[in-house]
Amino acid sequence: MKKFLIMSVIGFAMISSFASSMDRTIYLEQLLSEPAANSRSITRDDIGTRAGLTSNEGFAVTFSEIFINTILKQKVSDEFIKDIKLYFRQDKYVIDGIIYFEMLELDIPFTVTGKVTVPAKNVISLDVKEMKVWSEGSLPTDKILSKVVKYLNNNRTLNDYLTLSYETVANRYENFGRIKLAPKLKEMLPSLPDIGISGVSTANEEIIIKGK
Amino acid sequence: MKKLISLIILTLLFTIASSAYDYKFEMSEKYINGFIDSQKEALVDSGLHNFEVFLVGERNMEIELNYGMLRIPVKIKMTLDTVSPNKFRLFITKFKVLGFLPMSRMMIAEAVRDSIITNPFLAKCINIRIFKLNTKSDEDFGVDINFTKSPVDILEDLVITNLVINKDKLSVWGNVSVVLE
Repeated sequence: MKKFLIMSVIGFAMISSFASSMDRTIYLEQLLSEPAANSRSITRDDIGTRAGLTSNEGFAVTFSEIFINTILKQKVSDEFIKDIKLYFRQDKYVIDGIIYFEMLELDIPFTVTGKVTVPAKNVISLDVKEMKVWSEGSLPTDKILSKVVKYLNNNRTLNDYLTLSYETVANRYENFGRIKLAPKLKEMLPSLPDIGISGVSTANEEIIIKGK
Repeated sequence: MKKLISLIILTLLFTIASSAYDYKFEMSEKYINGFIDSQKEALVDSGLHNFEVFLVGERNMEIELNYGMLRIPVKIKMTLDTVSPNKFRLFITKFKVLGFLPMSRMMIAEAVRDSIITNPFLAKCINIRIFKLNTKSDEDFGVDINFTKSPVDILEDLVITNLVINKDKLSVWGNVSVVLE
């Protein structure tokens, strides 16, 4: 009887974790396959001839999902950030990953989606529109996300290039926040003291950062 | 069997040809000249004054500068070619030194190379070789630019697959090695 009880508890735990990971996969697939609100489609520019620069902009750097996820996988993943992936679509970004939450001694999968904006010169903001935490019980999403950002900011590789911070934005109906990225441009490019990021846009599977 | 093998090869080739870049860095002519302006000291130390770059449409580039104490005007026209990933070649198509004094073109080209190498960022990742072309003139030459090391420290295996001049913009694009799960 005891054995049966133990087995059934383990079985239930496995089924619920499997179901939650299925939910996460389905949710992520839906998010990524949704057509953009503004339906004019932009495809990956493979020949490198798209004139993306206006006369006000001096440079544009385009990073593909592969580029960013390679850095994240090879240089950022650690004992706290167990898995993290970024996805870009025309009107949104999606961050999907698993963090180790020390307080509960648990691995917590999460999915965040929103828009990329540039609220001030040299500040990139990932405005959070929706966040899911894939675990049993109701964990405070805001707290989990601020923890993710804290872990990322403590990562030595990222810290050489960026300062990350998280701020909660009080909303009438819900709480959603902003992940702020301030690139350390002076340290990155000491020979270009006046460099400035003026705009960021997302397209299918890529992010474009423009500046002067 | 033969058909199957050729089909596999064709599919492989198509996959390689259609694989996209992982990053692209596009710069305007103005941005490049802003960068050059910030390197003024190194240029002046090599005797190069008023150094300016013009990007002229398909693959073509022009440099205008004043050389030495006498500020002799120099105009260089060149085309940019990709030899292989991380290897690029400039063919000098016109090298005009105005004035009456005989001046070695190679000397001026070497002064440009030396001033580029004084920039610590460029020095650690670029190797520039000036070589004579097999023509009658001793003054015809090309320039090989090899990226010997990734310009981005944290990505040692970053590859620059192409340098493209399009109108007044220069694009650098390439790939990173992907560790598959």
